[in-house]
Amino acid sequence: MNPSVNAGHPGVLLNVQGLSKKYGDREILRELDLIVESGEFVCIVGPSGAGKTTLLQCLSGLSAPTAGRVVLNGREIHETPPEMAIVFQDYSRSLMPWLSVLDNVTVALRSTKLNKQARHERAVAALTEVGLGDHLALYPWQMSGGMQQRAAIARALAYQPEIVLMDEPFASVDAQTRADLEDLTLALKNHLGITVVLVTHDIDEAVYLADRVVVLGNRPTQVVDIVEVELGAQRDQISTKADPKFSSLRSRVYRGIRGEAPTAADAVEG
Amino acid sequence: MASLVGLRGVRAEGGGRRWRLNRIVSQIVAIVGALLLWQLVATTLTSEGTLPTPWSVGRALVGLWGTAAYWSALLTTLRAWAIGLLICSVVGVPVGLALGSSRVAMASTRWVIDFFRTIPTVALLPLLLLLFGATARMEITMIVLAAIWPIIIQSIYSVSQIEPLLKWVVRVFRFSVLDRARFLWVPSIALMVSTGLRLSATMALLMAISAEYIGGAPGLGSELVRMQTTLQRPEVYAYAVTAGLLGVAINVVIGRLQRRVLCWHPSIREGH
Repeated sequence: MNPSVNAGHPGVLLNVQGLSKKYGDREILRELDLIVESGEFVCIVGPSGAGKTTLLQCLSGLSAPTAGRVVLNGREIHETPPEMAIVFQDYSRSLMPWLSVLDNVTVALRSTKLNKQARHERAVAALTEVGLGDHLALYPWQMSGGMQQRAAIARALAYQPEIVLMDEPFASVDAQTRADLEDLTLALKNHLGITVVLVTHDIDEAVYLADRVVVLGNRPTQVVDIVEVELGAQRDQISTKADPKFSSLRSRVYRGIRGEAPTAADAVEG
Repeated sequence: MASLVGLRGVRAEGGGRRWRLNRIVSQIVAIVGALLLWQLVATTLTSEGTLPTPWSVGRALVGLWGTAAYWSALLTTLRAWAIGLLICSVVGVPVGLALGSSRVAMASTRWVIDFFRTIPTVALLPLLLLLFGATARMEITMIVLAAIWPIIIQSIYSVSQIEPLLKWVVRVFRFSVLDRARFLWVPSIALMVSTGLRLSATMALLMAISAEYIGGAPGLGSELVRMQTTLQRPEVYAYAVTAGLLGVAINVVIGRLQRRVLCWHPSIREGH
């Protein structure tokens, strides 16, 4: 534990230093460095099979890195800390089918030491926030995929974390639902001021959502580019995506993933 | 619990009621068919009195209901069955879960378990009789030796039913060990373990009657033997029918409980 880690970065929430992960001889992650500031929306984008899920496991303490460390609020993490929540890709498996949606959320608050009444109120508030206020008694398997993922988001929000990690959260829903959930996530993030780290393979999604896009290269995974996205806090599916800045950012990320050098045009516009 | 009941109520309206009625009607048809076949065989194929007709067996059964011997035999059998099944669960579930949690333990004990569960328990009867005599203790030992295997085996495999992603979820949200047990482990293994219990319950009843019939422990089986020696044929069959009805009742009760408690489970909510 080095207390000087955050010196000079008062806003640093998550600090990843030299993170490497090997399974036997297979090198998955190679010396990743990453800083996430408080209140930021960071998207980590990389090609399929680039060890994005492994990265997220290391970031959350679910899996121990082979080398390097992950520091949250100045403390190195070895298990998921109480100020962190996760939304997983596979909503159909990440909610408990034997509990109603409401119970799925309240049960995740049992470690918070809130009393029963307070847990209930917080869960109802979070579910209402994601638009499920009228469906509290339903079981996850009685709801559509989009609703299930909303419930998983509500579970993370009710936990009131400082940082939410999202692992390809919208990869398994249809396009319309996906756009709705992206906008919901943006709105919640702006409204609640939480920090979000979202892992995705979708370049448009990454640029649309993020304040900063971290581009990963393939095998072993390493950071090849970091792109600041200056599209403002208010975004919308049509005008933001039609913005010329959006398309130039998107091509820069795309080239990064393909392993091509950024062009002069990228340097000017990005 | 109230929400579970409400849910079933809602689902019963969606065309399920008619389907249920159809099922009951077809079951009644099957029972009547079996009784007719029995009647036919009893009156044509066998010589007078060897196989009593369903009617005479029914009358004998109603007659037995008026005797104390019948009810005391029924209770004795049920008691031995319940104690045996309880021991099977208390020992079998933890053993199965422990074996199922470790790949090494599971692989190394597989043959041993297969070996012991295929030994016909009736073959051990002489040994048990020597040890305990024709007692309830002999009967319960036999029940446990025969009926513990389905519970152990189902419990072993139930461990693999715990969703790996949910294991992460409980870590992320920092569930205590007790909460993990209550909200993750128990619901995850419930279906497989309760199916094991159901298989074991039938097996236990079979063993109880056998231990009484062959081994002479008190209960329905030994009453059946007593009727045989006094050549009361319809009563012999009435006791056999009692054992059969008991088996059906046990299965229905456990099945109902299973469906009610596990109404969220994919294999139950779709087949409902």
